[in-house]
Amino acid sequence: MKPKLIIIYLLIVVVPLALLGGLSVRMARDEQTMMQQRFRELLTEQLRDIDTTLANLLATRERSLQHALELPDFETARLRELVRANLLIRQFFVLDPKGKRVHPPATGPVTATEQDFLERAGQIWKDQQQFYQTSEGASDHGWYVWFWGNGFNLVYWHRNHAGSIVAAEVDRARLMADIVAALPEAGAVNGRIALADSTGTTIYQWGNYVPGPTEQPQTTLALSAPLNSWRLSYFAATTDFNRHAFWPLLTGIGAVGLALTILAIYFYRENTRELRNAMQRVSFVNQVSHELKTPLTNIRLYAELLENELPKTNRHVSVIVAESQRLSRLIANVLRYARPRTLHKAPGNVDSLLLSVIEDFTPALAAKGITVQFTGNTRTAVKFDADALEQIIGNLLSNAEKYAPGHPIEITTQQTGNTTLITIADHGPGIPPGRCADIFKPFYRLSNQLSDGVTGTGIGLTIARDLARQHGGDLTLLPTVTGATFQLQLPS
Amino acid sequence: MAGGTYGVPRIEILDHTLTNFLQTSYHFLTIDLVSWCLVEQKGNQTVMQNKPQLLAVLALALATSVARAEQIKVTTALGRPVLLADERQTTYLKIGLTGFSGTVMERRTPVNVAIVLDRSGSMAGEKLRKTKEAASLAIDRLNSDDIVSVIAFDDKVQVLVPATKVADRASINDAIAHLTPGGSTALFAGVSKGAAEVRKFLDRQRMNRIILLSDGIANVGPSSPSELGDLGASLIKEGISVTTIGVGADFNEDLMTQLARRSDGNHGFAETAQDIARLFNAEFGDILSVVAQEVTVRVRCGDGIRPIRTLGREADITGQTVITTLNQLYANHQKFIMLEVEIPATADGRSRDIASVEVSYANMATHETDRLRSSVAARFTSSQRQVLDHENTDVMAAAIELIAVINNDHALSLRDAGKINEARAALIDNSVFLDSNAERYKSDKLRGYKAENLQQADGLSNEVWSTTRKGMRGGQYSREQQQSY
Repeated sequence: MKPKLIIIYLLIVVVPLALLGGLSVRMARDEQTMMQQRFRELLTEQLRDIDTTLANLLATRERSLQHALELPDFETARLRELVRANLLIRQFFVLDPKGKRVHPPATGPVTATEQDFLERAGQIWKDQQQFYQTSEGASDHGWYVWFWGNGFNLVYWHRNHAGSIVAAEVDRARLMADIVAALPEAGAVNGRIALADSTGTTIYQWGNYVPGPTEQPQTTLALSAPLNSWRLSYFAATTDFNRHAFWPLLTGIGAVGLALTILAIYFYRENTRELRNAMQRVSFVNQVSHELKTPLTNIRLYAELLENELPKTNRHVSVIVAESQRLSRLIANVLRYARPRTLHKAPGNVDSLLLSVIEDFTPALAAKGITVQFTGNTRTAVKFDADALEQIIGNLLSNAEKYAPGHPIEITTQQTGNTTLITIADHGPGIPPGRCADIFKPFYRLSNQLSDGVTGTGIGLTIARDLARQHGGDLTLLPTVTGATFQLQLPS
Repeated sequence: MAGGTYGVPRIEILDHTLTNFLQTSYHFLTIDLVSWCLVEQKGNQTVMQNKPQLLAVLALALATSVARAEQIKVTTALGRPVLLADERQTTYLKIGLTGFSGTVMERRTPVNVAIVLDRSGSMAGEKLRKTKEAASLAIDRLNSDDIVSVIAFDDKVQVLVPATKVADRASINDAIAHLTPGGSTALFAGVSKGAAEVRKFLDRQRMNRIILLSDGIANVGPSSPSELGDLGASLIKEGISVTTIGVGADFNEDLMTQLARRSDGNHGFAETAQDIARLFNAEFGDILSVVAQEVTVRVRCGDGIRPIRTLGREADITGQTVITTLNQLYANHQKFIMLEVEIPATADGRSRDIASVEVSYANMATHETDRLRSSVAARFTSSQRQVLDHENTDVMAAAIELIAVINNDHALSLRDAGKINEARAALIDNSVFLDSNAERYKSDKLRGYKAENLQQADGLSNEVWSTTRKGMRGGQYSREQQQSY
């Protein structure tokens, strides 16, 4: 009983907890995915802001280049002065409308840096087709991206009204320095933002977070043209939300678990207290019954002696004997129910025991107008516990006495094979067909007009059947048209 | 001053009124007069023409004694002012620029300096401690008109002190004191942020400079010597120089010297942490004694004269024209351009205009742009003896030193290629070359460099090469740029 209870109480606690936990974890995971998504969007938004900053920077540079390249003429000295003074122009070239190079001068001396420029940038106007392709369209100015040397190089070109093309090679180092200067410094963000050029080399990075060597960024963003081969990457820790969601979740589940446990313990304690109370009561009844048994035995003994000594007609003594017998049976029933004991079987004659019991009952039955007709058919001895059998028959006769007054009782014994059958049939009101199964349950009492007002404990039949089964036999109710017929089977 | 005695025949002030010109110092005029007299005795025709003008100027200057405004001194001289006739030959033309004394300035040039410090992990300990000390001490030398910013970088960049007037020294020193070592080396970004800080108060009337101190190889962002050099070249266009101080044996001296060279800054090699304070001190000595900025030198060679190359300081050579710029001149300190020119065969007894030089610069004492002009001519003789007698020992010694720098660099390349023995032989050859010329031109500087080369010849083994190489680069750089330290 107890381990089962504990398991039940454990289940009461564990099952809802497990359900709750499972649901919360799933919800948390869903939420985390959502948060992750939103987080990424937020990071991308930040990167977009940076891209805007850089795009503005490029736009400013574009305007100043545009301004610088609006030249009234292409006098070499003026152009060289421009290269010397302009912060963003490393070198530049001028092509006349026919595509012929005007600067660096095609004829006449060139400086060493101009010579370098011709070597590294010559490809641009040697392959003019490509340059014109990218520079065509509605516009008369724009960026031209050119991969050479350290990789990415920018050329800003501008076609003047006469059709000459002026193109400036942007000082790559200067552009990068300006970009670095425009970006935030070390501790500006909690994550880590890195700007990588077209080769994937990090140019600049900031933020407090230190990503692992192989860590993938949360999100990346390509810069706007003309720097569209550059990438911004955002690195950040992912476990943040987990940690945020984990503790409240755990506390919630813990609180519910605690509440359930307290509730379970409360119910368990209530339950065991009731059980204990019931046990105490049973034990109390036992004790009392036991205490009642000894004086009652003496009363019965002396009443019977008195009955023998006094003239037969003395009815008062008979009543005392009958009532004390009834009380004895009651106490025997109570004790038997509370403390089932082992049987002491001994071979004996069933018929003679039955006769003795019937004789004991005769005065009481006669008082209720009941006559007993006994037909004994046993021939061989059967092993049984005399007290137990006496109690079974006594209980059945006592029932008949209570519920079927004024009707005869027929008791028959017979032996078939190894079984001894004792049938006790009355002709009273009988037992309603639907209740036949219930009458053997303890404390069950048929409640109808007839039985109202009849006292009883409701354990007589229970004990009778238990005793029969203890013998290896059974007590059953036989289906009959009128009255109630019980059959007791005993193995030989 | 020996250089002035030959080949400074004419000084012309173009953009000044007579009054302005009279404010030129006695000192300056006197020297020129002496040089004129000496040259005159040698019968140079160009000088003769100018004699009355100079005398008049001297007389006026003596008579008026007006308040004097200093000007830088330009000395243009040939290694051999007297050349062998009837022979195509090369000689060296030295254009020396000497800053005037800072004591005459009403107040010294205010500075706008960004100190960019490497805080990468390798700086931990003694190096970072000394650096902090040196930076704090250096800032103590500034006054409340000066502007300073402090930037620290590892793999990221942090502006510890944004550009600010040196008023609140306590908080600046506090920020430096709390500098802790970090990760790797984002050198390019550090300098870029330093430049951004300098740019906040960029002013032609200030001395604008970045001082970069690093002990490691740049490994985040652009990291090649050429990229950093390009950055320097772009900063000089704004008048910002970068001085680089390399600490220990692990920094990239090529990168550090390129950055300094292209931006006309200084370069120092701190072999141990103890050297950091010395270099900071010397650098601030330079910074606080600036007398001229944005110095542009244009040399126009005479007919038939071909400029071949410059030794040391780089210059743009286009046809007959040579242009170079210097960002700063310091008080009483000479920087020069050494130009190798080819001179066509010329008949005995004739003379030839070799070059005219125009120098413009921002005078930090008067806050005006001054333009000075000078020219130089050579005389031709068939006497070998005369040629050698008239040799300008100052110019020749300076040219020899720069040639020795080229030899030294050649030895460095050999050693880089793993040819230790060849490198050693080249260094020993170089020391012999320096030794014989030191005797000939009585030059202590050449003697000093000879000893350095010999010492370097002993430092080519793998264990010490890294340090020797830094010493070689540093030595080359300071000679090429006529660094004061």
